Amino acid sequence: MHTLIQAIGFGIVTASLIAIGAMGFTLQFGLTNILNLTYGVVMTLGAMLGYLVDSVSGVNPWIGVITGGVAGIAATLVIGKGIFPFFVRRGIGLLQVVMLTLGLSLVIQYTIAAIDHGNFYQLSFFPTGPTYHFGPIVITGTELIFIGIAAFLYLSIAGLLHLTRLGKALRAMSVEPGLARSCGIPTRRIVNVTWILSGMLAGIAGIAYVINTNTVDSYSGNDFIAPVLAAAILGQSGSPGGAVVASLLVGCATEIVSAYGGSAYSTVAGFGVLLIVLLARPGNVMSELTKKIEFTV
Amino acid sequence: MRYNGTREVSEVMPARTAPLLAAQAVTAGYNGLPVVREVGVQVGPGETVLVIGPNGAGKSTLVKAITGDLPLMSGSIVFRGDEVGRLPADVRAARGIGYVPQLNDVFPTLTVLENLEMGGYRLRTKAVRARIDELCEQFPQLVPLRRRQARTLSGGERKLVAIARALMPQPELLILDEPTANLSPQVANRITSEVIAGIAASGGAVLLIEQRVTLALPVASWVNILVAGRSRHDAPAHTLDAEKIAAEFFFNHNEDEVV
Repeated sequence: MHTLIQAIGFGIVTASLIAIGAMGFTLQFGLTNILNLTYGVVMTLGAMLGYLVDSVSGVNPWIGVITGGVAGIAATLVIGKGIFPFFVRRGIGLLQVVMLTLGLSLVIQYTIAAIDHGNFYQLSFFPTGPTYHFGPIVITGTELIFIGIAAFLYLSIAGLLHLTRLGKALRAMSVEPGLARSCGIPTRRIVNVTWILSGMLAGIAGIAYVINTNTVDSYSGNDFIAPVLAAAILGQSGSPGGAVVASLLVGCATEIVSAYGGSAYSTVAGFGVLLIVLLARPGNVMSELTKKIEFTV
Repeated sequence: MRYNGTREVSEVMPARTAPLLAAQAVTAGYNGLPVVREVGVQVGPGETVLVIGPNGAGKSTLVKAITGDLPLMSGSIVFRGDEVGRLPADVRAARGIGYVPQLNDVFPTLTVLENLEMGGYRLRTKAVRARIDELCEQFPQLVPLRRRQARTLSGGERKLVAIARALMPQPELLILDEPTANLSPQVANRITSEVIAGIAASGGAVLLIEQRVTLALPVASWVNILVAGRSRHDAPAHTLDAEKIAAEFFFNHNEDEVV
């Protein structure tokens, strides 16, 4: 019982990191319909550059988190605005677009590995802060801050989507892009905002993930994309609220499996949850993945 | 047997006012294959122009070419004196072309109020509220639906929301693509003879695509008959007879729905 409660405590911390990534992925996938596997390397870039700024400047480690977000935005804009439209305009199909993003992500990942010689780096300089005890659950100050950041980002995004005209237009365009255009909603601006938001979230998720695991290398983001993807798909595309709930499920499953079965299985656990849900409610999830073929870029 | 009832009348046709919309020699289609060829349609201020034709005649294709959902292969679309045929759909909408598609006519996961707000996306915040109030006055049925998600509405309610959404920015021209498709005869009748006739009566220009000829003909001032992608007749509505049109162009096929 003790182990279980402890695992749930870790699960909530993991979930908050997954949620940051999953919200960005789901927003972007919901709007553009591109199952964008370069999201993983964008997280890597956020993590790497965040680490770099921190290790060089050594001022305030939290500047690295901001750097991660900015790097994520820049990388996503290059990929989303520079590369994808080029292919989409040529009438690329659903499967080809996944292959394109997979290929791109490998190219970027190995480029990073070539530059840093495949090293991995310790983030030992990052303060863990004081330790808090909630019954059997032990949480560090840094972890609490990340839970807070995830909650703040979720509330900001939910507020944006439901209270502002821009956010409502983003939701409108996710479900009916053609109708949104005939309402005079400026497609391009909404797409840009979505790329920026999802890039920022990817970057922050990347640096947050490596701060939590204490090491960063050229694979970091692609390791982390597994649970992020699982949570985004589980929570239904385009729904940040769904992504948060799904992240909690995936995060807790990961940590419980890790506590009882060994950490080697923890990544598998996220996909296990996804598989179980696909089996139980296939229509709900699969229709989301297969029905849309129009890409919005 | 060809329908030639319009031929004699055409000499006494009233001169039409300078058109608000003039689509000329429009050719458009999918994957490089034209569905409509060299079709022309005009809508003058205050006119309700009815485009009818059997299934597959290209009515929706014509509409999509006018709204910008589909690129023109050739031809021109002049709206308020400007060529808009190469402009993107959102710009044409901003110029004053309102559009209610046949399918996908509302944002299903948004509430009715949010749907209306999206219709008025280009308006100022204050103007949005004022327009929503005006439309709720014009269509009191909307009032109890305001907080409902659009996907939970009945077919008739949904169509009303779609029309109100398109009316938010007070478009100069409203294009309705088969607004009564899949509605019960009673609801279809209410949408056509109350809502659409009301818009026409208040001076709005309407381009109405319909299959239900008998229902739509009384509210139309001008009729354009489209068959197999080509315009077969273009004449004032009072010169045409619904039963003859149906007999001639719809081959009594699916008569219940058509007439």
